[in-house]
Amino acid sequence: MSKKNIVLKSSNGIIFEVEEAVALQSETIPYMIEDDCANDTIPLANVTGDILALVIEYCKKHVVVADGDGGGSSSSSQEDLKNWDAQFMNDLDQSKIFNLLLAADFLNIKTLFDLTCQFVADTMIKGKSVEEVRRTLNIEKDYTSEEEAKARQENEWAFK
Amino acid sequence: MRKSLPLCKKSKTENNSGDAVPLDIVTEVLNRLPAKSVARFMLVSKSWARTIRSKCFIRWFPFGSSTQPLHLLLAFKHKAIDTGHRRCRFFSSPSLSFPSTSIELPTSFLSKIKWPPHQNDSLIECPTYYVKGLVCVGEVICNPCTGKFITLPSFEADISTRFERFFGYDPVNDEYKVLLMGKPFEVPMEDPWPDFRVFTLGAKQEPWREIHCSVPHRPYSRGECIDGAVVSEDIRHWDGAVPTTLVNYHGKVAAAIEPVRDESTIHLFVFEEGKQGFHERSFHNLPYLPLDMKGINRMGEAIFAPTVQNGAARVIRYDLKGASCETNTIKFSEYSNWSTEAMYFVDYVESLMLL
Repeated sequence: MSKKNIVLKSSNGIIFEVEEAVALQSETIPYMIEDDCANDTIPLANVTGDILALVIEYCKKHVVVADGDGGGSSSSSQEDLKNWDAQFMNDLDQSKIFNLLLAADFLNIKTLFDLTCQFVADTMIKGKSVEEVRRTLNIEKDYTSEEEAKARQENEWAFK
Repeated sequence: MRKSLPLCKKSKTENNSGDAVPLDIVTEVLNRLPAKSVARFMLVSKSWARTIRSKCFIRWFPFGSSTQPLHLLLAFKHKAIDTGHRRCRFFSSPSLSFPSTSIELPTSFLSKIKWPPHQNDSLIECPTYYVKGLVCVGEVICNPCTGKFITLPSFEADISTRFERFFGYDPVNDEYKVLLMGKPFEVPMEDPWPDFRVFTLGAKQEPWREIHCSVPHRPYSRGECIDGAVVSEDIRHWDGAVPTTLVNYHGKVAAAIEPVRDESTIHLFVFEEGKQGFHERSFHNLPYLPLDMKGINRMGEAIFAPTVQNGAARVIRYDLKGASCETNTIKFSEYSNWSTEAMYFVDYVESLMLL
């Protein structure tokens, strides 16, 4: 199989050249190629260079396993990949995680989107108090104290 | 982008400027949390509460429910002889799946509900049903996860009419429905029952809607809801036969004949929609189990459990594919007496209905 490369350009002008199979894990990129957004370079206006680097790192890791489908990917390589995913997410700070989530959504990379969503759910939201979640996600409280007390009372079971 | 909430309208107009993460992505994150966390986070902001309460969010919650670990739902129903009050306590047992690492499985207490006698109590004493997160027990529909329930509206009927009740979920229209089949006293047992009424949860129409059923039917068994259709056995076909249990076998209706002392085999009569007749599947070499079969979970394991137990129950899972058997003890803080009915439901999934 001939290997074709695709050139991606981040919002801050950083250029990445990747194999086509790596880039095509994004379901958005094929449309951009079809639309002929650019002859050789695809500009990604919503993704900065540092985040795009992470996305590509993820896609490179995952493209190998997708290739190996014919031979049947062994359960140990599935396990390795899971561990790699966990490590990959653990090394990121909060702002990178949110931006990665937005990039995965924009680029429509289903497995990366699921991974990031689940990570945010499990580690940044799940066990947290309502106040902590507001702080983490920079959300302003729009309930009055009375409304909050009432809403809390309606779902008392969730606070036990 | 097609994600887990395919039919959700993305609300772009929500006023949450300054958020690092837009609301449609927050929705995806919330969908991956346990029901309890989600209910708690309705307090984060009004837009979160609106999202969580939306029909669409509730419908598709939780994410990947068909791939989540298996849970068993336990319900203990009790009727107070003096007051006629009923109560029901719910427990769930996590991670019922092969191969299990522990023989003893903990249960978590979910909720308890209590409801007073109902006008139609004398008419029906029907089976308890579990469908997609909700339980229909006695005259109430309850969410065991939240402990909230609604009472079914009463209906007018002659005192001598016998009713059977069924509960189902229609995945096309996302509706939970209760079906009543009634037979007035003067109609002979072998004649089709003439009285059919439907109650739709959350509908704004009249409470019970009379419907015409084009299939003549004399209900013989409890029902099983599969893919939006309620199935129950007809008395003509099983007259005099061994008692059977209707189960959901990989999305198909099957009537199961359970093993008896001298025959260690389960016979499944599997029916397919649109096809006449059935095909028979038999699974051999089961140990003799003095227990009832409670269902077949989506992993293809038949679950056997006792009817009443105190504090603990020995639950047997028989893997129909691998023909292996595993005994688990599940523990719960419930002490029952002769008037308590213990019920088990396979493939329990948390729901946010009736929040």
